[in-house]
Amino acid sequence: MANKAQKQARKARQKQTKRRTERQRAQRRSGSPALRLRVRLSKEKPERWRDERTEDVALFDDQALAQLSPELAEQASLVRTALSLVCQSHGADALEPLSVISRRSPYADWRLFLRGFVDWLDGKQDAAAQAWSRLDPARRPHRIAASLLLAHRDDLAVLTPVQYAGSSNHEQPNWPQQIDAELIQGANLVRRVRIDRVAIRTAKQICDIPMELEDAQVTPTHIRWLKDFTNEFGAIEPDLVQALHEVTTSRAFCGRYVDIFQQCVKSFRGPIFDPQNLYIQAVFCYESEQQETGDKWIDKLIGEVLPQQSGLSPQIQKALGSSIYVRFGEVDAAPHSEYDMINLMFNFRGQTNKNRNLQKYLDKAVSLYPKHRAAWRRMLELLQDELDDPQLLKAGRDKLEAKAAKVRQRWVKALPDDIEPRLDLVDYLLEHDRSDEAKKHVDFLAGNRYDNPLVDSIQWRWSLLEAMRLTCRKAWLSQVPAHLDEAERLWPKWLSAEWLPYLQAAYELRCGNPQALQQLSPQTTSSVLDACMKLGAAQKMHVPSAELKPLRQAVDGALKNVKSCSLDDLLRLASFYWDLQRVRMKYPAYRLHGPKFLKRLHSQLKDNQFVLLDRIDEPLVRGALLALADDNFFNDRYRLQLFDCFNSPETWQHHVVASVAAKAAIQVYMNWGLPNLRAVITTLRQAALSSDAFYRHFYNSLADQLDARQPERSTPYSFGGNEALDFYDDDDDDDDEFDYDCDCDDCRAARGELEW
Amino acid sequence: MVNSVAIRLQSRNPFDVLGLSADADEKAIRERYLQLVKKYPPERDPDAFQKIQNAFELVKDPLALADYWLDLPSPDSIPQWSDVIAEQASQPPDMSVEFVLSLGNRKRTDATEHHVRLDAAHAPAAPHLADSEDAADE
Repeated sequence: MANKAQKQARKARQKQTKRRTERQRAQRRSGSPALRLRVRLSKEKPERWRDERTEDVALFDDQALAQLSPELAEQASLVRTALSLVCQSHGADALEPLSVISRRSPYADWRLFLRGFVDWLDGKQDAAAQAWSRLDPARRPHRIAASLLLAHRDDLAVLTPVQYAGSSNHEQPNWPQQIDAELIQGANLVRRVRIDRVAIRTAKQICDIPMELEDAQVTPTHIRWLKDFTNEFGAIEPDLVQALHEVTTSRAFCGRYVDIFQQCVKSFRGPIFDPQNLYIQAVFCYESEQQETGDKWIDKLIGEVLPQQSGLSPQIQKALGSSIYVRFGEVDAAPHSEYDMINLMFNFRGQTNKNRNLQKYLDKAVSLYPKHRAAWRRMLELLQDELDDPQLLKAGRDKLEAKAAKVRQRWVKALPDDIEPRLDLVDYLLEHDRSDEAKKHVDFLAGNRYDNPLVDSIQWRWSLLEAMRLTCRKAWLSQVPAHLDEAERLWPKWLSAEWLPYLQAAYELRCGNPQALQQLSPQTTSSVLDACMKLGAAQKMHVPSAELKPLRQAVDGALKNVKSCSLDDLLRLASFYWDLQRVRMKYPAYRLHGPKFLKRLHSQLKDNQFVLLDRIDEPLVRGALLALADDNFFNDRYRLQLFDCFNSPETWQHHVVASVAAKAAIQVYMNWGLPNLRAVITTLRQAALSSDAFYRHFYNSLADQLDARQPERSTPYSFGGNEALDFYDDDDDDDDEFDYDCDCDDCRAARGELEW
Repeated sequence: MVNSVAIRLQSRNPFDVLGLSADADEKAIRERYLQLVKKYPPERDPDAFQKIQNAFELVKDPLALADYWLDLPSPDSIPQWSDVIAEQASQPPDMSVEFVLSLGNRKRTDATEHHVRLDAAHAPAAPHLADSEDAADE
């Protein structure tokens, strides 16, 4: 243990070392060309020479400006502004306001100069020289132009006015005819600043600094070097310095050393939206399970830093904040441990809680930037996951459905052209006896043109759904036939009208004609389809439960004898289910028996795959296969489970197989190694060209959704990037590189525990 | 206020590619895009057109831009210093207005003479900054 004297001595030594280091740095800096250039540039001020025109002086001297007539003073101000903009690389657009300057005005020379200056900055020296050839040699614009042109001469370093006079260059019409020492000095400075750029030469040194540690992306030497470089060149090459700062911090983020990363984020400036590097720090915290600290950085970034970035438009600021919330919410909800993985796979309560956290993040995201479509969609996906819980009770279901409807209302308010949420909202509102609200949305959809068959048929849906709603109460029954007639008139061409007579008969039954459905001559040869259509129509037309009972019994009887159902009967039934699904009109009892019939069909098709391939072009088979796909028969939420005959990429060239594969792939809950389905996307896009109105939209929509889920797209569960914290690395080769529990130097370094 | 600046096709910042400041509004972005598409039509300069198109896709959609900016590098694509240095080498720094105007200065002592005569016999020897500076650099 050190005594007081020893401590003081140590402190003194430290101070002495610090002073020595600072002195050495100062000496280094004072001798550096960068510092001399900076000092030289800081001394460069425009100075009036004797007899110089007041109009020219007025561009840098306010007293001279005050002496000008109002008209000339205004022109001088315009030239000042334009010059300032051009110096900031604001291109030729900056010159537009100068069009008010007449050719006889003393400022016409400045307008000419600025035109050439824009060309010169754009690297077009010949065009610049051409424009400047008409400048008055006795005035300042000509001298500036001459300096700028001379700066590009290869012999500038040894050029003297005498040599220039002796050379032939000045004889070219576009070159200055005579020069003086001041022009050469100015040209030298321009050359150093814009052409030679010592900073670029010096910056290349950073690539040659050796990596002192294996696997390091940045070392302390790099950091020290870049700090010195920043001090030297920060003032004259801010963009270069900024780019080096960003790349160094990004490299440190990709590296394995926590302390190096922390030094970088503290020492170097971050990107335009986040100068304090808060975002990258928050990502680092999240990935190293320090979420509270990460949240602190996010809140600071979104609440304080982003709104202060006046260089960004408010829209970009809000979109950035919104995207940050979504990203962090997804990472927060992602599995971080084996326990989380089990929760996720078996949908235990823990995962539900995580999803609720994600909902909070998403809510913040859409509140900040309501046009964030992906966030709205994700909110509804989460609610749908909860609605899919088979143990959910009616009260809970109603509550969740109401919540989803509110989300859809907010969504369509923010993005009125989004169709899907509006269509779902119409269904919900009609089901809940809020037809006035629904009508507004129907009118909106009917009044606009969208490439969506459901929108095109919105008046038909409205009539049919309204007819169904009006059967809720006896008092309204008289209004139903008009709506049913309207629905019949508007029935879409792409949809089978087989169900319509059943709906009309079910209405009769609702009105008190007990034989209406029984007397209906069978519209189909399939008894099971007949039974299901009757039950579906009766339920949709609000037939009382007592009269539903025999209809239920008929379906239950068919279900008991499902093994005796022929393949054709089951195909017809499944095709009817597909029709119901695509117009979103499944009846409530469907979930009790529908999947069971489909299961039988799936089993039969599995055993008769050759028959299936033979009949694949039949519309009936297409509808049946899509009904199966819609009910998750071709995936188990984690991987595809297509029929063997559908598994070869050759079969994906058939549009029906492609659509089934695509639908199944989209339903896979987590993208853990979906096969590359590019061929499917291509097939769907081609099939969409030659299909009916419904399938044209359906195939394109499937292709879009599948495209978004391709394996090469990043999953939403990780920020990626940080090697040390890449917990769920599927590359087995790297798994042995470090161990969270090992204390060897390599593993400690990988965990960022080794000090520098 | 004019929002456009000189375009920098090599830049990774989409605003630089379009020559716009990052606070440009929707109208300015669209106008600038149309201007550039006219200047760099796909049949004449497909590379430039593609870069302009890609930048426009990002700049016109704040969310796409946010995603682009928020994407972090992965260990498979670690950014290289040499790349940014090469990119910056093609983008010289701006010059200040004062510096540009000062390029037209004359020596106060020579104020009466507007020009050094290009007569070799009468031309004064030029104090050569570059020589002395470069010598010091060495």
